[in-house]
Amino acid sequence: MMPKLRPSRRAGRKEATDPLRRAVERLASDEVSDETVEEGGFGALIDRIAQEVDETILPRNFALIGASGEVAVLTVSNRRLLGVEASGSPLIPGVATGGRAAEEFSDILRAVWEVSAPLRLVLKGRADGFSIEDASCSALDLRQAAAEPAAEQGMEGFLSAVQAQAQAWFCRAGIAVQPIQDGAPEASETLTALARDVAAQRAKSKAGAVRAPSSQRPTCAILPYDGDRRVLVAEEADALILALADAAATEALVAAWKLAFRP
Amino acid sequence: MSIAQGLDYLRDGHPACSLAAFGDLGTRLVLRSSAATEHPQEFYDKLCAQAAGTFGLSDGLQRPDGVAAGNEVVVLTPQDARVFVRSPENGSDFVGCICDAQQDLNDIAASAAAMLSEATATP
Repeated sequence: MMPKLRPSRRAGRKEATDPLRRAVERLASDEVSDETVEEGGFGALIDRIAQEVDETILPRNFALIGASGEVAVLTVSNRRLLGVEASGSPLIPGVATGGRAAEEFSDILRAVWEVSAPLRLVLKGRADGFSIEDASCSALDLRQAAAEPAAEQGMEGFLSAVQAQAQAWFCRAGIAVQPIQDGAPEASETLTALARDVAAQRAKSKAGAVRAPSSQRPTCAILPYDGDRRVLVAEEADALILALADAAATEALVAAWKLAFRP
Repeated sequence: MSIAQGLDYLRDGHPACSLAAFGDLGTRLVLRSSAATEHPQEFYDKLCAQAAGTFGLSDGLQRPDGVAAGNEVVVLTPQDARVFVRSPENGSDFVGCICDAQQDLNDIAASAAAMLSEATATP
């Protein structure tokens, strides 16, 4: 009898196609398990919603069901969460997208969870009457927004803590760059030019698709300037703060950031 | 040393570094990564966009005469600190590290620069 040298190719193909078939059936189905989310808390609910967002291509509405009945409706299409309508009040977050839309959706879902938990997620059926230009976020955006700890002090606390270490501060509001604190003569030119670059980058990002990889989470970039100094670019939502700081103070700046955004 | 090995060594040397990635700023693609947890492609796309955007700002800075734009930038977020180091040779290859903000970021940047230099050196 000939020894069997390799496993049957047919069996291997079946193993490979079964998960694919299951995935296709799931994507095409109008039914979804109405699993109760209670043990894992709000995090488990977000995981469950994020999973559905990640796996939903066709426009679908999902309902969150509490003890009193339907408490929210979620609209999902093209692997994006497009809307959350809670207690009959539609959410219209304007042009926000990515991180900021995720924060708004997360806040609404958290409020719904706090009032109505435990909740079940149920597929309601095909969604219509939405625009792909509406605010939207991905599953990753939603997970990140929901996991974001509430900062103890936030950007304001950070800026207060590091003000003494910076040589010049500029704040960009609209088009003008306004000095907050005087500094080295070349700082004005440097930071004004930098503010223009940031504005141009943002404009480019907004002109892009709805999926522009922008985030509204607070960030602080530390850029090299010369041997002794660094440029700080602190951003949160539409606010932009620019500063020159001593290179030797970098560690202190990082420590201040960590402290300000400690949950 | 391959790039994948270099990224693993980089994380081994800095246990608080949860992710090390090698990518190309021109195409905005992460080509290799070593991470404590699995991340979706979208995460790497955003990491690349953040690196490219930050280096773009750094390059646009008007510096005093004779000072060249640096190849190391740091981005602090509420959850982590991100160190990006790009190749001084081609300005496109880069290594990004995500770590705890309490780590010595200069040390991580130095390790990333050494790794990048060794891994991309032509034999």
